[in-house]
Amino acid sequence: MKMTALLSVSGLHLYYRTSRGPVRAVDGVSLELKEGETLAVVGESGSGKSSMAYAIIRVLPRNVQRYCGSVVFDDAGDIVSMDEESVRRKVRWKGISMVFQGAMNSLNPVVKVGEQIMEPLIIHLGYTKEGARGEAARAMVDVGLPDYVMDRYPHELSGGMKQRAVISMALVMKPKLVILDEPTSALDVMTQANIMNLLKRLKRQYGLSYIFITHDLALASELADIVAIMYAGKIVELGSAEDVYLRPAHPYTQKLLRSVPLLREDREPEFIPGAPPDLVDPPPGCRFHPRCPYAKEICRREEPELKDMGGEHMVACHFTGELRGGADGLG
Amino acid sequence: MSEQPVGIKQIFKEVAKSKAGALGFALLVAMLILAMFTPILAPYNVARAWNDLRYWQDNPALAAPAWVRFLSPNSYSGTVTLSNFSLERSFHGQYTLVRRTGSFVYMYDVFPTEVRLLLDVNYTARKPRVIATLERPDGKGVTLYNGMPVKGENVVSVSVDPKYQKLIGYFLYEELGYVPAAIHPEIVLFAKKSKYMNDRQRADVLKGTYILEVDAISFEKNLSVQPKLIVYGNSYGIAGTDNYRRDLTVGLMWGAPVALAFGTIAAVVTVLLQVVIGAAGAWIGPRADEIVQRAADFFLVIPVLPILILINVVYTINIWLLLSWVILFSIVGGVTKISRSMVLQIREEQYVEAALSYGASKKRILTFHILPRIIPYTFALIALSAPSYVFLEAALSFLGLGDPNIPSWGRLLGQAFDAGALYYGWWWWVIFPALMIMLVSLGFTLLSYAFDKVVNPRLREE
Amino acid sequence: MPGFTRYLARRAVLLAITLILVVYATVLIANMGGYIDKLLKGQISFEVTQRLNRDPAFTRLPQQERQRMIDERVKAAIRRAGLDQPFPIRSLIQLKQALTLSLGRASFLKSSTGSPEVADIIMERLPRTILLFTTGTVLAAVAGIYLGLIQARRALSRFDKSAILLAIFTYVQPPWFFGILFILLFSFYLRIFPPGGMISAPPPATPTGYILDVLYHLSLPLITWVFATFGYWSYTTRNIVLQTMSEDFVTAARAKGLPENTILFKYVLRPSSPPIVTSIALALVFSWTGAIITEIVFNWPGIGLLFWEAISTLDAPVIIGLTVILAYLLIITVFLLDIIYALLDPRIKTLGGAVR
Repeated sequence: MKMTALLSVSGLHLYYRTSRGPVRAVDGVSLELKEGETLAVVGESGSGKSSMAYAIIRVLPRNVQRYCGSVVFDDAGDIVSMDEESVRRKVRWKGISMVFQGAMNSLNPVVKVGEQIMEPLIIHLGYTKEGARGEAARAMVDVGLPDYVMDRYPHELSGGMKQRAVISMALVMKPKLVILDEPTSALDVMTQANIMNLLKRLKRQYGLSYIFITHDLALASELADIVAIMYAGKIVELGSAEDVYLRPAHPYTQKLLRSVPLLREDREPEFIPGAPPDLVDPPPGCRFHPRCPYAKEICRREEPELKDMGGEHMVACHFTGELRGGADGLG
Repeated sequence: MSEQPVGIKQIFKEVAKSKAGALGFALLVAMLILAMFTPILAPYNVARAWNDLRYWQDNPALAAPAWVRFLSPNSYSGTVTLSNFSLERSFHGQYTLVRRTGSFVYMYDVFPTEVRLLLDVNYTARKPRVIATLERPDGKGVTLYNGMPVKGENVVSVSVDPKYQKLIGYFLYEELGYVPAAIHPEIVLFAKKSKYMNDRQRADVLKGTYILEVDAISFEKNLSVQPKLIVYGNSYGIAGTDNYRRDLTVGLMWGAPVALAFGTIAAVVTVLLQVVIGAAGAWIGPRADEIVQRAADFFLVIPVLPILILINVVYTINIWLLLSWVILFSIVGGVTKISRSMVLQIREEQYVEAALSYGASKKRILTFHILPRIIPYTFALIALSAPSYVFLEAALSFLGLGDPNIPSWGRLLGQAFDAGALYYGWWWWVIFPALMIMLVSLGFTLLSYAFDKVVNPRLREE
Repeated sequence: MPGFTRYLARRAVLLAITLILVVYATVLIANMGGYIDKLLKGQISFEVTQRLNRDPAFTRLPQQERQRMIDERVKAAIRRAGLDQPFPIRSLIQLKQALTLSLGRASFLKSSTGSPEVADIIMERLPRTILLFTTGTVLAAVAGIYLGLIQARRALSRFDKSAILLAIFTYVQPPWFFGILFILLFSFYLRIFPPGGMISAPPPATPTGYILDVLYHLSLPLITWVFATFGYWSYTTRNIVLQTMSEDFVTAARAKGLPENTILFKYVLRPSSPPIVTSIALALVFSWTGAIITEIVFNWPGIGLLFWEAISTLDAPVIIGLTVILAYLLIITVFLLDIIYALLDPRIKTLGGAVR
């Protein structure tokens, strides 16, 4: 099944300027996503996964120092080199929409929820207020929101409802790609499950592509077709969910998998010693080497390339293939 | 991404590292040094003498700073004081003649502003007759004084007193053949002979050596006369003088300890009080909080400045009493609200909940967990509010209220304003006190800006 | 929304109590805790004695008779002036009169038309103060907020940093301080503006000339006021807007592809407006109180100068009258602000003010 890539990212860099020096939040990331696929980006906090999402949709903070590489989306062209106005008109929300981390803060507190959902329709597609209202109502029904929510202010809704509102806002223009940045991290377990089911249903219903950003490997497994493991601004392992979960090749991925507590198994969850590196001054060579039990001399010196181990399973480790970790049947 | 520095030492280090902080520190330290040297350079008895006008009589009135002479030598002059006189005593029958002669050189391009002769006379019973004559470089002699002085110091206001102006009038009559309606002795005495010699704009200065001869005739042998001639210029000292001849340098120096002490003490005490009361109210419970908040509302609505003015008008109060009143009116206020909201916020944080759950006492949590978090902000708030207290003191002194015994910058400004310095252009009397106030407030402001940047990450670079 | 109504009712009661306390405190202080009564009584007895002594018939009376007559007349005069009551009772009477806005007659001051009514005196001064300070506050707020917005958009640039320093520096110095320096510069050295006053000594005859002359006198104090206060507006606006700009919903709006102007007005300014609007409303009310020292420096015959004149002459009715009117103004504004705030920020209405 050969499909054309919906999104193809190559050599993407995003550095921030700080008083201590540049923060290399995204440092040469390449990946591809086909239509209808879901990519899960997994990493610890501060690994640059949210920055990558911002870099793809090109919503950048003021203190950007370096932003380069290419992000080719569908037939829109390269987002990185496009002018701001075209990105705004062609890509944002029409092509790619986003659900931000912490939905409670991504709604304007002084504007009614319905209006915020309608807004992109009016601005991008020239809907009348009434038309947009009808369309927004449909989008809200889709995510299971009662219609009175339309005229409510954000603070009048519960956390789960706000999250649904934000999702319906992301879907109102029927984009091809939705970036979900930790969409459930602030919610309780029940609500989290509901939202995950909702996301699955919507994906089936509309044939959406997702980039699902999370620190939770277990949660990622529910939705992912492809998984990218990020560490210190770089992708260290990229492959189909099956490959990454069952045959993890990078020591970090292996550690990460073993740190997931399992309900039915009598195994102590492990933790990864040490802390994620400082992105202002990352360690030389392989960035994981200070925490890696297998680290050798070469790991301190040379940075490993992302190599294909066959079947589009890419790993960035000098000892690829030698270090087969246990496949702890998660899937 | 920017961690907040913890610990007072580290905060001060960070502040001192920033440009604004370093400059602010430098300004305040310079002021502090000035304040510490003030009692040495201008002892307290000089400040005490501020209101004793006789103390300042050797200074010219309303003189610009002396250094302006370097900038425009053609329009400023210094003061010439002649107090070295030779003594010649001769006896003529029953009379004793005491002759004192002294000389000075007048080389300035402008005329003096005033001439004054002081005669310190001593005798036993009978007044001597004293005649003072000034011999000009062109050989013409002018009588400045002819009379019978009393025992002790006699002030002969050659320029101002009509009695002595008349003597100059005789000289003018001899020279010009008439006497003008208004006589300006300080010009006539030092002018080249011409029909304009009574006109400051058109007369030419007669430069050269002037000789003052003071003759005293008496029946008493032990008669003594000590003359002193002061030819006042229009520039004096580092900062000039005011209309009462007071040396503004002294006033400016004494302003430094006053402003620093008042500003710092008021700021430290009120901010600490407000922080602690606000925090305590929020920490103790809703009822205490409610009382503190209502009190703060109340104090925010009170017109403090008018009330302070009112108190000052009815009672003459010294600076410490004034300070107490100011503190009394600022027991609660804006800062209370800030510290309250911070406490409410911190109380929700997990480490406080944790401390509560392991049974730490409320007092312990307040002193060990909450106050240390607020203290960095307290520094910023103190530095921020200090200038307003400096200006409050200046405002009250400007109105002529406040402590009348000590010269302060506000008082100097107020006296300048009342004397019309703004309309006559006596700039030194206005600019220097204003500059001093500005420097102190600038020091505090820069410091508060630097503190704010350190404790308030919003202003920092991301 | 009964919660909101209850909240407003509670606020109203608290503000009323505050009003009464402030006014009573002023009554006590303006009378110096009864000290002024003593002064007035002393003055009355002095005047009565003086008047009697000028009467030759009186001086011919025996000593005892004279004393009795003086006492009688003094007592009557004191009763006429209402000073026979003990001060605590008098203070309560004054409080009641003040709260009902019957401000009474001034002890010494008069309006320019010769009326001793406190209300007349104040109403004569108020328009002049509003002309100067309210205009100045509006100009400073508009200029400062505009500058603050530009700063927020170019945050941490060199322009922003210098604007911050200028703002803090000018705001720290009180307006009267700049006033002195500006008079020296613009009036003495440059001779552009008059050094003070509101009108030339013989006022111009024509209405146009009169208006132009007032404007001419108004310029320097107005410039001073704007210069000394715009910094507050630019600095606070910058900080509030910058904080809003870093909120997630602004990033979300950007990701939605909304045009920059929509983001600026709907997502940045609208959520930032409640605290700014509050500050403006309070500043406008405070501008009615004038500024004592600024008015003295510019010899501007407004409320501030009246305050100073009343205090210098210890004219208690005028002092109390001024305070009462200002306290009323302030407290009504604070109450209105609660309502405005609720209209601007929907969070307040449901939470009953708990957000603040």
